[in-house]
Amino acid sequence: MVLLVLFVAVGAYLLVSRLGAAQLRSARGSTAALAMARDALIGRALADDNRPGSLPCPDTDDDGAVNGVAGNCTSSYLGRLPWKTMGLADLRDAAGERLWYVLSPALRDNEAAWPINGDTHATLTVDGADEIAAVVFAPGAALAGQNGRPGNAVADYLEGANADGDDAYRTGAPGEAFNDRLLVVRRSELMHAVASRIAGEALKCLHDFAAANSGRYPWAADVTASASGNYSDTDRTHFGRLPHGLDATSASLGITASWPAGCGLASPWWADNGWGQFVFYSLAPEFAPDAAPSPVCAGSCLAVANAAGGTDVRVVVIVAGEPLSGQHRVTAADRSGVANYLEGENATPADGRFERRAPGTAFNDVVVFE
Amino acid sequence: MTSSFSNKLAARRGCRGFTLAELAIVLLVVAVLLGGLLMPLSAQIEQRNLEETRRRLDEVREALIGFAEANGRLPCPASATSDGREAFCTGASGACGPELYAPPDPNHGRCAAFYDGFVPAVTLGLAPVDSQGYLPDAWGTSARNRIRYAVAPNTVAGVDYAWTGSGPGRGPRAAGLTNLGEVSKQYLWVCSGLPNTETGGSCDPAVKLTDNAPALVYSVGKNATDPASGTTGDEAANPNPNGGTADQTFVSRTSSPAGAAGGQFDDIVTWVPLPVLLNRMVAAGQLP
Repeated sequence: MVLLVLFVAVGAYLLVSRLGAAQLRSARGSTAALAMARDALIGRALADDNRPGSLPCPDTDDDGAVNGVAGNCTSSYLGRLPWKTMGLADLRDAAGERLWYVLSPALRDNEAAWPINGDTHATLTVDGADEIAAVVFAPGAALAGQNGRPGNAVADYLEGANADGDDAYRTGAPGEAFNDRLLVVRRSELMHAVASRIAGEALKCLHDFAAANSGRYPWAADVTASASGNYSDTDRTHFGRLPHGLDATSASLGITASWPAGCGLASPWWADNGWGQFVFYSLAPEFAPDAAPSPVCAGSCLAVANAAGGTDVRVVVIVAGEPLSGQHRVTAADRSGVANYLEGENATPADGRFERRAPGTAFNDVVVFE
Repeated sequence: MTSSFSNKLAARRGCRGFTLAELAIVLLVVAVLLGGLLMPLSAQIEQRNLEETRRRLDEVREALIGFAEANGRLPCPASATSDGREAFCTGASGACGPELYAPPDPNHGRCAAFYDGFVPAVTLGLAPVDSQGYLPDAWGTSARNRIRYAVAPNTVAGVDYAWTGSGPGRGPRAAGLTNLGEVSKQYLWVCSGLPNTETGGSCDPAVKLTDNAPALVYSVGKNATDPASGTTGDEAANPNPNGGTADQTFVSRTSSPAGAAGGQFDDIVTWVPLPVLLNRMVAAGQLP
């Protein structure tokens, strides 16, 4: 009797401890690895030096490094996450497998993919949802038929629609025939992160410009003219796109003004990727190039709602996100319409009032100011 | 009545007790079972310490990223005498001079201990800390079990101590996003084995995990209190209570017992991946 009780107790203890620990580890391990991979992919995309928003090619031979020629994914768009190239640890899912990863071909880091910006169509779909920039997979343990591990064949790791070579992927409940776990990187979240960088670059340019010109900022580029590709600044224009050329500003200031060194706007990638269309800029009249040096706010400064310090604002930079429902950016006439880029209070710039909101299906502007 | 009593007595006499031999066998079986139970129990405790230490390292990594989001730079490591606060040099160049403890924060960003310091738990507001303000790993509360932290001392685009400096013309913002994010910037090196040519910051391509870690956090593991460990083999690449080389190169690999290739190794290493840090700093408006 004593022995029986002991046997049962010991057996139960071992079973429970094994099960509990294993289950916990599996749930936590995969989730943490996938989240880390997504953070790193977005970080890699936004920090790229000549194509912000571009993604690395996958690793097709399991050495941790990208495979491809100059960012052209010549081997495949689907492979393992290139953890070594990205500076990550050797990320593993709960089953001890390395993560897999697929990117949208339109976002590869190669000249052929130019331009990459908020309008670039990401071609992957997951469960029918489109505009997916990338998917990270935790392949899980080998299922029946997946006998090739360790290897580099997709079908030995991913199942069903995820291994059939087309751009449509799917999620599903884990079972006998499917145990992939997916984490999706949507174009909207990727491009929102990139827009934050573009906004930061633009504000830095403006900040440095003002520091070099006694606190005055350049004129904006007229919205209609810039819609056709003319990004020269326009005299007496307080709202428009961020200007590239500064002739009117130079005339007002009485000197030859230029964007300061280190300004991203002056780099070729800005124009090559067409970011000019997305970056809007509003200037308080007190701080215009025709103002006296060292200006201060005198009643007509700008305001940004829902933002700390959003009063007495000198300049506002708004970077448009991907086109939302009802926004069209095809013709020059489309591109002349501020409402085709900006939403809410930001679409009516004449009042000098702007707003920040959480990104979603009705609002995706990135607003920065100083 | 008398007869029935004597009958019962007789029956009781017939019921024998345990013999010594039987008792010994039962005790033996119980001992074997208990032994079987206790062995996995100690392994379980070991496993729990390992998991707990990993959890704390992950927490430190998140706290470091959070610090960068709030302050636009990475913190300096705490030195052995800074009581869990960031430790800076007095001099921006030349001799380090007496240590300065932030706040106030000397904006030159030159840390007193770039590679062989500890997690500045007081600066980061982490808990639990020991009586001196350092964050211990799960094995103990002695000074030997403090979680260690290293940060890249690099000059980027002409900005000295680009990750730890702050203020105008210094720090990550001055260095610039794309300059910080370049591939193979050679911040901290993490190798999967001892580099053949460890010369102050490198390892062979065959064992290189990354050369791009802006910050790295590690525990020297259970063997911290063993005076013989950590001075030879792969563990010697990671500064530890018993020695180790303090430079930009660290080793991270699966644990191994004494006598294995690369020697005994039980350090637990994690680092802040560069793209993750850049992502979060841009999202927080600290870059570009």
